[in-house]
Parts: sequence; structure tokens; C-alpha cells
Amino acid sequence: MLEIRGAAGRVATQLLITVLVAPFVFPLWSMLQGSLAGDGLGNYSSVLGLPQLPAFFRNSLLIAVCTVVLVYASTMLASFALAKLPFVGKEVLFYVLLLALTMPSAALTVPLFITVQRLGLLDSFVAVILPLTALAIPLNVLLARGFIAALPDELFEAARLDGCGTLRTFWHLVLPLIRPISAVVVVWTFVGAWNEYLLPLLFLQSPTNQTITQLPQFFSTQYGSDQTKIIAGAVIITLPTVIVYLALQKLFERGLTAGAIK
Amino acid sequence: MKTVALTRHRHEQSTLTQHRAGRAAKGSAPHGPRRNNVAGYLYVAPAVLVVVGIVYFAIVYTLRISVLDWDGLSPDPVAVGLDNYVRLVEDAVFWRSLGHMAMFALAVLVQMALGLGFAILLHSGVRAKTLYKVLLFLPVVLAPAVMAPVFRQIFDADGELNTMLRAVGLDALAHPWLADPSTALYALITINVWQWTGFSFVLYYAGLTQVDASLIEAARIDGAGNWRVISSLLIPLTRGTTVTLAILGVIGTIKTFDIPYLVTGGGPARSTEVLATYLYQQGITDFHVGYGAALTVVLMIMSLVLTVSQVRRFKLGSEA
Amino acid sequence: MSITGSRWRRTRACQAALVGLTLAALAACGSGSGTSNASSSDALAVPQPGSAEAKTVKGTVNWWGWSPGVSVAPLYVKAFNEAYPNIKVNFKFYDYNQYSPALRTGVGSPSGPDVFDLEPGGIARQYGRFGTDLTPLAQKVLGSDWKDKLSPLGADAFTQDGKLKALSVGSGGAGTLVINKTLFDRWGLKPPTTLDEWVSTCKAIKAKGKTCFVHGAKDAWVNRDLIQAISNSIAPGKFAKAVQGQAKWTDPDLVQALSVYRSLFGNGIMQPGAAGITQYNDAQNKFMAQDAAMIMQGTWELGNYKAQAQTAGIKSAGVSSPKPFVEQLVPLPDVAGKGNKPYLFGDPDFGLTVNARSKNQRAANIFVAWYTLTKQGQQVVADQYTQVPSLKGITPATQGLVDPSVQVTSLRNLGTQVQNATEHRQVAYPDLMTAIGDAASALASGSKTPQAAAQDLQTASDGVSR
Repeated sequence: MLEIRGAAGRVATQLLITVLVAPFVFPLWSMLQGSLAGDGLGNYSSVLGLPQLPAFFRNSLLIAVCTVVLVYASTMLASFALAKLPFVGKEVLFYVLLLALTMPSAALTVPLFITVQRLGLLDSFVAVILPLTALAIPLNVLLARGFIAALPDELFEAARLDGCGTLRTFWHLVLPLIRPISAVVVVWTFVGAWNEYLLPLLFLQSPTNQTITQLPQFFSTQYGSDQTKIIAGAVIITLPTVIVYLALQKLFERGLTAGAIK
Repeated sequence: MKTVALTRHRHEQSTLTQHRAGRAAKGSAPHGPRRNNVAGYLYVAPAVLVVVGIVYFAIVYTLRISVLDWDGLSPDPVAVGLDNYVRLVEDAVFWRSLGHMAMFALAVLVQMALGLGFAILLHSGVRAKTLYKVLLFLPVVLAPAVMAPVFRQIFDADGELNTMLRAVGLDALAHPWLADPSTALYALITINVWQWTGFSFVLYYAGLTQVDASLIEAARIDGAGNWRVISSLLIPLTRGTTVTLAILGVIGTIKTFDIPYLVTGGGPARSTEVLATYLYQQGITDFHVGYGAALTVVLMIMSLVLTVSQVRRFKLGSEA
Repeated sequence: MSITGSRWRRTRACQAALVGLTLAALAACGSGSGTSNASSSDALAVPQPGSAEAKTVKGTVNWWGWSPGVSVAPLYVKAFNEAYPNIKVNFKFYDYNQYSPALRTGVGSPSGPDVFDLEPGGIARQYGRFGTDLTPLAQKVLGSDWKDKLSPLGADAFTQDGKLKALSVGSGGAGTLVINKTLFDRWGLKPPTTLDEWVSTCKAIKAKGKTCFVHGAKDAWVNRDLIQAISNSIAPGKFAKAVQGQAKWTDPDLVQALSVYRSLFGNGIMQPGAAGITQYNDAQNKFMAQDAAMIMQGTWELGNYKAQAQTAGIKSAGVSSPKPFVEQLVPLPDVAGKGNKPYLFGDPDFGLTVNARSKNQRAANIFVAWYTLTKQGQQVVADQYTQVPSLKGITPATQGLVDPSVQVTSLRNLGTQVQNATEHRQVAYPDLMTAIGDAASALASGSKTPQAAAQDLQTASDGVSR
């Protein structure tokens, strides 16, 4: 985007971004040092050696993937409708979704529990997936709707003239064109579901149904906790989110593709 | 040397569209028979049903218990009408927490500016892009509960920040940041910027990929320097992202909980108390469930009012 | 402006709907007495450990708590299973901060706990109502003089409306200071007994490049302990009386206690930035890493008399090659100079409650009885050192200490003191507890005078329904 001239310019730019990033790196570095204090790499092997780790990992993965699928589907459909389809009460429904965004999580636990218990869903993954989906949708609709709205109406005109129905338009026109924001939606939803601590703690009660965010309990006692291992655990927990982010990087790079208008 | 823009086959109308999007254009609905009405409802249905079914029960529940004097457990709550709300208005801690939240709103501006800056730089041919992207992404995904003790250590009277300040001779600035009511909030705001800049960055980065390279080329041919390109093109073209981030920023600021709760617990001497930590203390720690619910309702109303006014102002709701 | 009278209106529909909602949702949590299915003689049939029946009795117990922790609980479960091999115990750990929210949602649900931890104070007041009355169990196992066989603090803290809602596992006492005796000996220092001695000891320690006294003043509880200890040295027992509403917080003795507390932040005893760090882990880690020579902890710190436990603690503080050092609990210095003998005040660390809705009453009772009323269970508690057992007459085993010559006597003395303690440490009223924390924080940062802080406390205390 910016024009960088000459080697000096390139070096200066590289220096600039490095200096700007340095304050962000410093706490990360502190954390890494913390994870290697005491036992050193033994902290990592303690965490990785936990017999419950594979099960917890699987549970978290299951919950995260299901949440992402549900959120993606409902968000894209709704964003497309709110951005491009005409119907009465659009603005109201948009606000209805936004209002849900304003609720703080502390106020949700008891009523959520009541709902979950009434539906007989306690200790099932659905009890975590559904609320996570419900909480992720408003944010992602807000993000995706704007992107879709920015697509030129002429495209949709052309599609209609070509005889495409709403569904085909959605599938073949909209989805490919919004890959970058789709990637954003997937990444943030995955991160939110993966990092969720309170809902699995309260709603998943069998020891085999725990998620990876419950790892710190193995290193906590009534009097303080073993911070070195908890931080090592946190580093390990973060890895899948980084992997998801990197894997979707390509989608961030790709722009509008050829042949959108035939 | 001006390079020739690589032609990626973009549809011609994209040029016009980017400008229109930049000015929050009201796109006109496709003309034709209103046969899409039903489709609209159908498409929106899954999202609305899930959200309303799950979150709205919580909203209604909160409203109902906000008129009670209840500890959340005993079988005989006492209905007290609007007493909780009146008490709220007279509550000094409540007003102080609002003031603190206003300060956090400043953090949002910094986060957005930094996020945009990083996004632009990383679209401009720096090396080791992926490394920088990951480094900016990590703070967003790391559990605050794990970072809080790390930050308490960094801001400690003999922690890393003060050590660095002393090392460069700025002894006078070294301070027990989190122990002093006059500086604790700023320390928290710094942590907030650290944690959330990556979020703005990811969004801006995605938004900038939509920018047509030929536009920039055209500007260059017209003799625009880097700053011109940024101010006249990039900022307007990412306006949608900026508005979205502003809305999310406002809501996020109002709901801010983790960092004040985990790092300072609202102290010292309530100098970092925000509405979300206060309602947590009232509703959950002190078992004043009704009062906590009233605080929640106020929080939600504030968020809603600010959000609606922003959406209206930037005309987000009335497109298509 | 009084609002209360005119606004109070109970419309039948509104009340019915709310009560219906509450009851449906929290289903029978509201039953306060909890005697519905608890005291049938069947549920009280607790076989003696070692008997034949003990080996065959079957059951499952789901146990929730923040204590003893995921790594220690298996010790208890294993020991329990030696006596009762066919009762399965599943311990679910909750971090202390999440315990109350988790219990609130879980205690009435069908997948909730059979046995759960109860802490004296707010948690006991709120959740005790969901437990059975354990008096018959105590009588069955210990006889009609069961009260005399247990430390007084326990029954006291957990009795509500004449019913015993939890049985204490063990107690902890506050009012002590922990010194790093290894460092003290190296530098020829003695534990301070007056304020002046404390100040000069701190000067000496600072000269050696270490922090003298580390205090996690961000945490309200540790400030509360300190204020209570200080006020006990001025007017023994007044603090606890004020908590019960039997003395005024604006009493000159208590105001003086607040004033002395505040002075600690200015005379070089409190480390700079104390209000920004937590007791666990921030301050504790500094002490364990030997960066600080003193910390204020109560008898729960005794676990670190053991070399193995202490080494693990030092390692988790970030020290790579941990070497144990000698910790010693000494009385808090007489900072007010009134010459009153320091004493321990404390409470049960936690007690075990049997959920009235549990379908495993018998197994639950057996587990709770073993843990809190039998010699075998209480011996396991005693041997951890972190709690002083509730059952009288149990002496902890003394192997594996870092320095037996100093620590055995210390351990025994403190154990006796805690078992005989009568003054409470936990404040049963959350609002008052919050107010004390706020006052401590305001005093530490100098934003309120002791007089003003005392007035705030009195206001909060007046608003508490006792």
C-alpha cells in the first residue's frame, strides 16, 4: 500500500514496525520466561503429560468446530439478508441482534443455567455450543453485514438478470466475494469458543466432559497455584488458535477474483 | 519509479463502489417484484431464533429480578419496585465507575489507530509479515487470567517497567503503578490497548485487502505521497471497518470486565472500578442479585443507546 | 429521602410468577430445613472403618469444593477407600473465585454435588440451607458428648437455626507472622516483638538488599486479618464484637487500630506497591523465592514446614534449583504497644456439607463422617499441616520437616492454640466484608482518614441484618 523507496526506506520501515511491535512483544516475552521458570521445560512436559489432556483437547475442538459451523451458517445467511434482501422490519431485527451484544457475561450465567436445566441439557456439549453460538452471532453479523453491503448492487442485478435465485446468488456470488471477512468470522468465533472458561465450568459437570480451559485446576490448590505450569498450559492452549489464524491467512490475502461479472 | 499496477481482473464497477462504500452510500434495492420478502425472513431466521431464544430469556430474567431485593437463593424475594434504580442513582461508586469507563473509551481510539497503522505497514512489503501478524494476534487470544499476574509483575514497584525506566535514567517516573489510585487506571488502559490492538489490526488487515490496487496506482500517478494515500484513500476506504470497530469498541468498553477484575480487582480504593466489575461484586460476591440486575439493565441501556445512535449516524441500518 | 414505604407493593400475579420462576428453576432449593430425606436411620448407618460391613458398603459420592485441591484430594480419597473400598468418590475442584457461582447453579440440580465444601461466613450463610442437619451423624459417630470432642470453632461457625449444616474438616488461625529463619539466622536477626523492633529489623534487612515484609494488600482478606490482629493487641476481642454488631466501629480502640494499620504504609514496613499485588501468588512467591524475609500468613502456611511441600512451592515461584529454607511462624509484633498478649483467631478452613437433595445420603454421610469425625480421616488432615484437625487429640506426624529442632515445637504449640481458639476470623456478612476491604484499601492509599473509614464501617455495619 505504501511506497517504500530504496534500501534505506525499507530498513526504516522495518525498524518502524519493529519498534511499534516491541511493547506488544514484551509481556509475551515475560510470559514465556514465566513458563520456563522453576522447572523449565519440565513445566511443559507436566502439562503435556496430564492424562486428561487428550480428552480435554478433543472436547474443546468439538465444541469450537460445532460453534464455528453454526455461527458461520447463521451469520452469513442473516448478514446477507440484512445487507441485500428487502423485507419489512430489517432495521428492527438488526437492532434485536445488536441488543444481545450488550449483555455482560456475569448476568447471563444464572438465566442460562435455568434455560439449560429446563431443556435437560446439563452436562452435554449442546449446553455450551448453543450459548456460545448465540453470543457470537451478533458480533459477527455486525462484521459481515458491512462487508456484504459494500458489494456493488450491480453484481446482484446482473445475477438476477442471469436468472439466479436468492440461494444461488448467496452461494455462488456472495460467499466467494467475502472470503476475507469469512476468515475473520471463523477465526474470532473459533478463538471465542476455544477460550471459553465459564460456560464449560458451570455446565459440563462430568470429569470426562471438561474442556482445555479447565487445565489450570490441576495446578491450583486452596492456597495459590503453580503459576509456572499454568502459564505453560496457557502457551499450549494458544497454539491451536494461532494455527487456525495462520491457516486462514491465505483467505485474507485473496481479493476479488476474476469473472465476477460475466 | 512508479510501478505498473498488476492487473488482477477486477470488475470495472469496483472503483465506483469503493468510493460509494467510502461515503456510506445508501445502495438502492434491486428493482423488481418483492418476491424476496419471504427469503429475507427465512435467511435471518436461524440467527434471530438462536439469539432471541437464548439471550433474550436472560434479558427478560434480568429485568424481572432487577425489581427485587433478593439474594438469588432464598425462596421469598421481596418486590421493591424501582428501589434498586433509585439506589443506583445515589450510588457514588456507580458514577465513579462511569467515569473510569469513559477513560477506557480513549483506549479504543488508540487501539484503532495502532491497528490501522500496523495493517497498512504490513500491506506495504515489510519482511517477516507472518511473525508480526502472530505477535499482534497473540495478546487477543491469551487468557486474561493468565496474563494478569504477568502484568502485575511488570507494573510492580520493582518490576520490569520501573527497572527499564531507571535504566534509562527516568527514575522520577518509576512508580508503584497499580498501587497508586492516581495511576492504576492508566496502567489498566495500557494493558487494554495491548490486548485489543490485535483485534482492530485483523479487521483492518482484512478490510485493506478489499482495496483496489488500481485506485492507489491512480493516486500515485497523480503524484500522491504516502500520507496522501493514507488520508485520502485508505482511511475513507476502510470506513466501514472503522465504524464497526467504533461500535464494538463502545460496547466492549461498557462491558469491560476481565482486565480490571483480574489485575486490580477494581482497586486500589475503587480507582479502577467499572460497571461490570461493580455489578459482579454486588450480584455475585455480595449476593445482592436484584441490585446487580439493576446495574446490568443500566449497562445494557447505555450500550444500546450509544450503539443505536452510532448506527443511525453512520446510516448502517438503512442500506439496501 | 425514604422510598421504601410507598414503593412496596406486591401484586399477586407478579409475585406468583416470580416465585414460580424461582421455584421451577431452582427446584426445591428453597427448602430451608432440608430434613426431607436426610435423617432416616438407613442414611445414618455408618459402619466403623475396618469393620466387615465397611468393606462391602457401596455408593458414589460427588464432592465439590475449592479445597483441598486437585493434587491433594486423591490422598484423602485413597485413604478413605482403604476403609471403604466400594464407595467411589469423585472430587470436582473449583477455583475459590468460581466456587460460589458454580454452587449457586449446581446445588439444586440433579447433577449437583452429594457433598460440598462450606466456608464459614458468607458461603455458609447462603448455601448452608441446602445441607442436611448433621447433628444426628455426629451423635452417632462420636456419642452424645460429640461437641466436647471437637474444636469449638467448628460447631459454632456452621450452626444455623440450631442445626449443624457442616462438619469442620480443620481450622486455620491468623495473627501470626512467617519469618525466613534461615535468613534471620544468617544476619543475626531476631523476630521483632514491638513496632520499633519491626522498623529496625526492616532497615537491617533492606540494607542486605532484600524486601523486609511482603504483603499482598490488594487482597481484602489479608488486610482484614492484619487489622483484626492489630485491634486485638489494643483491645482484645473488640473487632469480633464489632463484626457481630456488639461494639461500634467508631470506638476509639478500633479507630486506633485503623490508624496503626495505616501507619505501616508509611514507616517502611510495607513494601512499596503493596496495594497492587495479591497475597497468593504474588507476595507468597516473593517470600518463597527468598526475595522477602517476612510475610503475614496464618497456620495454613504450616504445610511449608515440610521439605517436600516447600520445595514444590519454591519451584512454582520460579526458582530453578529450589533449596528449602526454614520457615517459622511467630506472633505478630505488638504494634500498638499496649502489651496485650497476642493470640490466634481463626475459623474452620472449610467444612463438609451433605446436600439434602442428594440421592446418595448414606454414602455421603459415611464419607463426611470418615473425613471429619474419625481418627483415621482426621489424621490424614493433621499430617498435611495446612489445617489443624477439628477432632481433638490428634497429633500430626513429624517427618520430613525442614528443621525439626525449631518446627516441631512450633507446630505443636500452634496446633493447640488453634484447637482452643474461640474468636472468629471470617466475617459472615458480605456487605461488611466488602466495607472492611474498601476501608483497608482507602487507608493504604491514604485517601481516607481512620476516622472517616471507621464511620464507613459503622454505616455498613448498621445496614447488615443480623
